[in-house]
Amino acid sequence: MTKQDFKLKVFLLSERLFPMVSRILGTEANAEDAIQEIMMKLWEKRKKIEKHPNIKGFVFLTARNYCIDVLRKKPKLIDDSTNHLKVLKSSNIDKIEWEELNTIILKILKEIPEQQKEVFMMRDIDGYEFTEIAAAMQIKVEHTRVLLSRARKHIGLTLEKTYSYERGTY
Amino acid sequence: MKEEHIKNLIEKYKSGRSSLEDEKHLFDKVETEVSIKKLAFFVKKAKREIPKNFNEKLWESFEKRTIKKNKFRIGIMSAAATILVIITLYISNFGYNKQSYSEKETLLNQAQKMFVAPIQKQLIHAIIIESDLIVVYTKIEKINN
Repeated sequence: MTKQDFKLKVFLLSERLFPMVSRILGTEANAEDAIQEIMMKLWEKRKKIEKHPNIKGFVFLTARNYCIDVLRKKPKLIDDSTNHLKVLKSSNIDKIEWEELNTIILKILKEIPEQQKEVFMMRDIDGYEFTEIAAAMQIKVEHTRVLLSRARKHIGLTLEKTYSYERGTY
Repeated sequence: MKEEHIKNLIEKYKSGRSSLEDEKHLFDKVETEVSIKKLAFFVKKAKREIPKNFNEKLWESFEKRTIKKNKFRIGIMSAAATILVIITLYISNFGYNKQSYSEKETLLNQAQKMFVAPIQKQLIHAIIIESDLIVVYTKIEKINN
């Protein structure tokens, strides 16, 4: 694989990796360094990648595994993939609503299984295709849809209940 | 947006059958359903913006790193090649100068014959006075042939 091939087939996916990597690692600076490291790792494996049947999937899987490794090495600093949501800044207008909603959704996300949570975050927050999520999580596309559906139904129902209670309509 | 269409879109969303485009449409337009409205707000706030020219900037630093690494690798390879050449030359020269013991003995004998046997002197000491503090002795040189 030439450097130009690597750039076109692998490196240009850096932007696609950004939402997931920055969400898992917490900050944009960390994400940039991490993607650089991920690309260096992939560059060293370029001969192997050339023959891979799903290069895009392999890149996503490598990126996710790298982030999980980083989290394992720093368990006290970052405890889960929703961590960054706790430190997100928002404008004053939305502040109260955001803080309340953020607390509620974080609580709901803690209630659902880890896989469902991850699929939900990758789809609804990071905006990934089902094939990308399936490759990163090493599951089938159909399974991804099932997990996402369960997560969305649970989150939707809990949000509905919570806000109906507040309005006194439940 | 028609009510029926919204209903279908929400149904598709909840069953995991909606496309990314459908979901964007849903989050941008639907205001009637509380859970969707709240989720849309959450997603909008939690989404990470990709920095401008991210790929280009990252590629520049990636290029620098890979070129540096290549230079380092070339340096290491050159040093290894030089060491290998030196070792090869040393081993080949060492093998070339190697002589058997009989050849070495013959050469040594030939060399020895080139010189007259050195005169060996033997010293004989005779003690005249000896006490705890002092010893007086005479010395005679005897030549051995």
